[in-house]
Amino acid sequence: MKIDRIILITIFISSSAFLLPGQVSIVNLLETQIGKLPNETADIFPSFYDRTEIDYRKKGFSVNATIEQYHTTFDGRGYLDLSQLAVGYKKKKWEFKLGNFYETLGRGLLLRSFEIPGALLEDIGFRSRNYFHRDVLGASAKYRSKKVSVQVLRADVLNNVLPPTFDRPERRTDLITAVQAKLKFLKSHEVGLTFLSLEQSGRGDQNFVSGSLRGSFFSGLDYYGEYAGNVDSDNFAIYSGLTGYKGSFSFSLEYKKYSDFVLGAGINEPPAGVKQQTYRVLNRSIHVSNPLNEEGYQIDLFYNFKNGTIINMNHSLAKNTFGGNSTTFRQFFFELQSSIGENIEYKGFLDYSQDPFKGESNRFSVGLYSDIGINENLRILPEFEYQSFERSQNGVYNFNALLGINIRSRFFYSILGEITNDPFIINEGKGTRIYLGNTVRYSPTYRHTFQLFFGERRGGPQCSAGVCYEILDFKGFEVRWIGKFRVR
Amino acid sequence: MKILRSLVLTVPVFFLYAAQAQVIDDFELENVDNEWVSLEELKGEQLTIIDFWATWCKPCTKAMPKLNEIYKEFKDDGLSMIGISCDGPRSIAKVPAVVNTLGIEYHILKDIDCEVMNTYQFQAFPTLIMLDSENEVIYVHEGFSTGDDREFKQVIEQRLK
Repeated sequence: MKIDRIILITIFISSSAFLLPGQVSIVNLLETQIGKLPNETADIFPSFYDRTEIDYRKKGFSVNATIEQYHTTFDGRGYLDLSQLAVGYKKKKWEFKLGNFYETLGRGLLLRSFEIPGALLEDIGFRSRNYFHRDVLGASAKYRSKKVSVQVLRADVLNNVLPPTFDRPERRTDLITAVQAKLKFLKSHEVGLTFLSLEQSGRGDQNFVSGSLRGSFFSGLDYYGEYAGNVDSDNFAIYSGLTGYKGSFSFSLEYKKYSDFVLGAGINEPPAGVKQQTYRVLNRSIHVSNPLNEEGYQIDLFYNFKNGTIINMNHSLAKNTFGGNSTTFRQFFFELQSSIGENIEYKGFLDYSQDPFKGESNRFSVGLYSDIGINENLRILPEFEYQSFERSQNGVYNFNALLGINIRSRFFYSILGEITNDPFIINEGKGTRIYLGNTVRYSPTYRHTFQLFFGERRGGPQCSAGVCYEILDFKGFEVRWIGKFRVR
Repeated sequence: MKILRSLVLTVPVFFLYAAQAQVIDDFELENVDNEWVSLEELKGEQLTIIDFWATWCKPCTKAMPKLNEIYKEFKDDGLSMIGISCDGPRSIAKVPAVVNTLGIEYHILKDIDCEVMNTYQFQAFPTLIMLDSENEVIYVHEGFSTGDDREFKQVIEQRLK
């Protein structure tokens, strides 16, 4: 029945291109793995994941459907699911949405939904793979003019930790009803007010309000402030920021204070107030904000020299208090990016952190990335990173080196080697663990991208687009294809 | 058998379709001065470049100074350029600071839910698209590596002839 429904919807939306004047876009992501995953007894574990997103639109009207499927040789982990279906209409100042869509209220203090393009989530407990996103399923109506905006929203929020092998009522336990209004005043200022009611299966209703103020004091100095609180208790969240620039100097300051402010199954995500790092060792070590109890700040400074050299200095602090015990995370980060002549670009970083929440002290990280042009088409990309810290009186280090070859952005090959003596990672009886992974990517046109990974990949925490999640270790072969098709 | 049936679904009608161009409908987003502006207001007479980027994306911030050079060279020839930041709540505060640090002169818009990029199913950061005067997508490029800007210039020169 489920499959029949999916087939019908696929054919309906696809054939709309021929029956109605409009455009259909289809994006397909297919990934298959043959290899070894943590806690699997089988040496060869084959799996197949596919996601097809079909979008039809004609002027302001749109229909969107997403079909996801995952299969392995193990029963109970696979599924075929119509994971998203949405209809939208937009005309001038009005916008209506029905079905699955993404919505963030304010800066995410009350609601944050997201889609991380291309990211797949596999939880070590459930062992099923699904697209990494958190959408809402319901209806929204929005009116917006240059001065005023009002939105009404009622929807179930996805708990994305649970894969589609779970039924919808289990994955969507949080029903929200929200009204948000914003008003611009004095040309460059805006006040916002949001009311949100949360109904959780079997846990009664909770009501929240938030108020925000943002704008510019003058050109080059912007501010933002938001307070959100539970109407029936003392739980609250405060987030504020100041951003400015003068000449070659720019800065961003943020302050946060969160007190018991996790809504439902985690439908909100207040800003972390910690720099999102893309360097491998730093990304893996990133401090994940805890809205249950956290207070802190972040200072981000940039300076641009006349020769194009850019320096970035960042300091963040986050204090967590649980049951009378406090831990304080501190990070000091410095980055420099510059070039030598026309063909060599480089960037380097230094980082020093204290992370008692993870039990890691004196965490020191350093890295150097370069991009060397050999000729007009060929570039070589060597990258090195080293990190050391103390945990339970043990000295731990992580080192990685990557050598990449890039040909006109069409072909990319890299070999990444990582070595660590982290006791949490290494196998029993061994002093170190080495990972060696190869990636080959080929994009003959924008419409098709093929990627092959072979070797061993280190898992652990990963943060992308401001959202952090866990990826699993993997050893074997992984093939990915992304194809895009359009019809008008 | 179940896998086979699913595979059949994975290869549905769309493989029959010929790949054709896409049109971007008008949209409105806030600029760095928190004013709502539309694509129609910002588009170029002949060519519009839209660059989807984020402050935390290293290839994005590497591409932007090169794009700015291109913008300065061709802005008087009917080219307009729009950078759409997809920074979420975590990093949106840094947008004006990064834009100033990189010395960007073209239009920068903020899309906290990354709605425009998701609507048209672009999947990578950065993604650069070029639109003709009818808003039809005539060129798409994902990612950025030094030297890609030469290709951008070649396409622009061909279109602005």
